[in-house]
Amino acid sequence: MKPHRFDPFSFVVGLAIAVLGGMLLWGDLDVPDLRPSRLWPLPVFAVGLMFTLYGVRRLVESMREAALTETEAWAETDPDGSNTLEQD
Amino acid sequence: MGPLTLGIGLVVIALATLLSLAGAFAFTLAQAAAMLLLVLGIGMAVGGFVGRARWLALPMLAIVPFALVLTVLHIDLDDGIGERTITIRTLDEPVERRLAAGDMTVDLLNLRPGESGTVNIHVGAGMLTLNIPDDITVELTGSVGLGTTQTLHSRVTRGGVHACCGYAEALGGFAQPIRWGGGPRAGSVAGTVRIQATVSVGAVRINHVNRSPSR
Repeated sequence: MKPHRFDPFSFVVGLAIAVLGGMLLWGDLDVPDLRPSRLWPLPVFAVGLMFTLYGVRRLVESMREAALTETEAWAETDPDGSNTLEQD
Repeated sequence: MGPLTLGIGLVVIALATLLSLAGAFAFTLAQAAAMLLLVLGIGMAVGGFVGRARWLALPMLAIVPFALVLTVLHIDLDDGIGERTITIRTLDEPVERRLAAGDMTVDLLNLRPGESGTVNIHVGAGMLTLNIPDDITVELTGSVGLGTTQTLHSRVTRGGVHACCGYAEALGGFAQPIRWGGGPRAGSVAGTVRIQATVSVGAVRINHVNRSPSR
């Protein structure tokens, strides 16, 4: 398997379907349980979770990029590592 | 990740079906669809981290409606399909009847006043008609998942049953147990007939019939 960056869409849709499958398997659902007035929080939660995870992913990636840029800048100003503190 | 997940899902279902056929446990088509959704969902969620498989959403979305319908309608094709008329003459033993799809008529008009007992009826999809005489005490509970409950007050004439005295229709099932009855006739033993009627999709029609001779 190729390594990929985290995909919130796959994660949230998969999780939602897995929860639905579990509910159908063990939840003893009936037709009245499927009224829109009862169900509407679930898709809202899924969409909200997806946006949140996309946001977290972007935040983590930007922090990683910032850290990488800082390291590269430090390496450019001190290519031979002579400014590195040596401990006794 | 996608082929791996699909493969695991199919293997799990095949094994469960084989075990079911061997008598280990009951495994219905509804459970198979729900289990396939569970496995594919877990696979896709894991695919969010490694080996992404977005295309799994397509088979899952195709399976969801079938799984929902099969699960919430409680339709077991072994219950039969078609038109049934059941005439109950005595309630010495509890009566239980099921129909997967079609119309079922349950006739209590031959019950003696004062009779007591239990009647359980389930119709998956279709119409359930209950002919209940007004001289027995009845406690009716149950539900209509998607559909209506119709109560019809009627009178028996020589030509059969016809509506005469009122009609009420409500969406859905019985929010409260319905209890009625003119009570047992003088000299008979008091009793209550408890009817549990459930229809997943369709309607329950209650014919509340006056058995006394027409005036």
